[in-house]
Amino acid sequence: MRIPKEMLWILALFFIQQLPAVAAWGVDLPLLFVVLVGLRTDLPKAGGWGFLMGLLQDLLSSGWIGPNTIAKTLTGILASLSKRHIYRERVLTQTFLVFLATLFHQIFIWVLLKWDGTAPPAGDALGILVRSLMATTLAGVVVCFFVVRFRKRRFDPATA
Amino acid sequence: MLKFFLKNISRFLLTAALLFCAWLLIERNSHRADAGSGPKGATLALWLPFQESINWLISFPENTLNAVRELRVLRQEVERLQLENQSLRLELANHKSVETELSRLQEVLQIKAHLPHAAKIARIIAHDPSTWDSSFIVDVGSDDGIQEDSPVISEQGMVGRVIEVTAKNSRVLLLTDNGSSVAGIDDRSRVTGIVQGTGHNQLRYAYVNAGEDIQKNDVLVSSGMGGVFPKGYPIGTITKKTESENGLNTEIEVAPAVDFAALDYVFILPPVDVYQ
Repeated sequence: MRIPKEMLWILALFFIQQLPAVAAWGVDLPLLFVVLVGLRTDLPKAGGWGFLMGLLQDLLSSGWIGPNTIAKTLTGILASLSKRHIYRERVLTQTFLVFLATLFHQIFIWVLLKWDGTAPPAGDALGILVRSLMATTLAGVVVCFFVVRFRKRRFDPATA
Repeated sequence: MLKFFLKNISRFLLTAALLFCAWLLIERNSHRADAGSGPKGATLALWLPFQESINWLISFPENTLNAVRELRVLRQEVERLQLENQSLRLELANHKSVETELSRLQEVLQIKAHLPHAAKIARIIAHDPSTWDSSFIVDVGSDDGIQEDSPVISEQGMVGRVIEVTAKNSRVLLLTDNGSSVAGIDDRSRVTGIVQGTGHNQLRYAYVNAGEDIQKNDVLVSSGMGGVFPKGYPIGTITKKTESENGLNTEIEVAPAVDFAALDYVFILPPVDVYQ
């Protein structure tokens, strides 16, 4: 039986995401994946990937199902919309997009949690946001470097 | 000629006998003497380099071939030894890892001996993938007798409580989760309050009246109130106390007693009402 490579990507991503070191640092690898895929695919696919990754994250976490699903779907769509304005062959521009996307994603989740009544106090929320923003952006620098340097052109519809 | 030889045969035989004796004497003497001295030595000194050169010339191709053959064998041998070395190093590393795991398990078993009878040892298998929640999943579930709201501890102190149970796994909500709270007491001054999670690796000691005797480095333990967590387990150490200017609010930061990122095994106690 042939396992689709996307499935392997997801398994690997969530395996790493659930390691204590990654969880403790607040890195959001599924978000990074959604942003980088969104930057390279059309809008429906980017939204689909965002939905799938967010849903899995919500299903595997202790919180209610929704915040990550909604926030990642929107982030994927926004990443796809920004592909006309972001030069994706540069590490710096991609990292900047990762930074903005993480900021948007975390603020959006906080708004959803606030609406639900389960949001932490503003000070704690800011702590979570800053930690995740820094860790995900730093992880983004490393991942974007490898994506730009070693990406196989045939996977990129724009340059295929 | 023959007539002359036969006529003087005795002389010839005598000469031969004398020559033979002389040869015997020389031969015997040569064994005693130093091989490198005298005529024999001189002869050998002249002859041997030549002999050696010839031998070398004759054996050179064979030696060269043998050397090449041996080189190949040696290279194979080196490769084999390198592989063996790597394998032994790996085995050694594995032994060390097993040894560490063994001592860790021995520690865990020693701690378990001091816990309530029904405490279960659980291995952490996954941490929460969401950045807004703090929990992990362990490898024991309802099949092992785990129930919701069971307190979870480690050898360092309080870890959290079980919030979801399936047949084979359970989810533990950490003290650091922003939805988590536990009744605590200052071990020195006996001031009570509620320890709340902040969503990152820090706790807050809340509902403490302003002016209460709380100092930096005080240890907080569970007070047993609230009916979820048993009494007397370490929660954390006070790291910072800030009072507002009007003296009405007190902000107390607490460092957890447990290093959550380094945890691999935890103990799940039965719910408090079961053994109290």
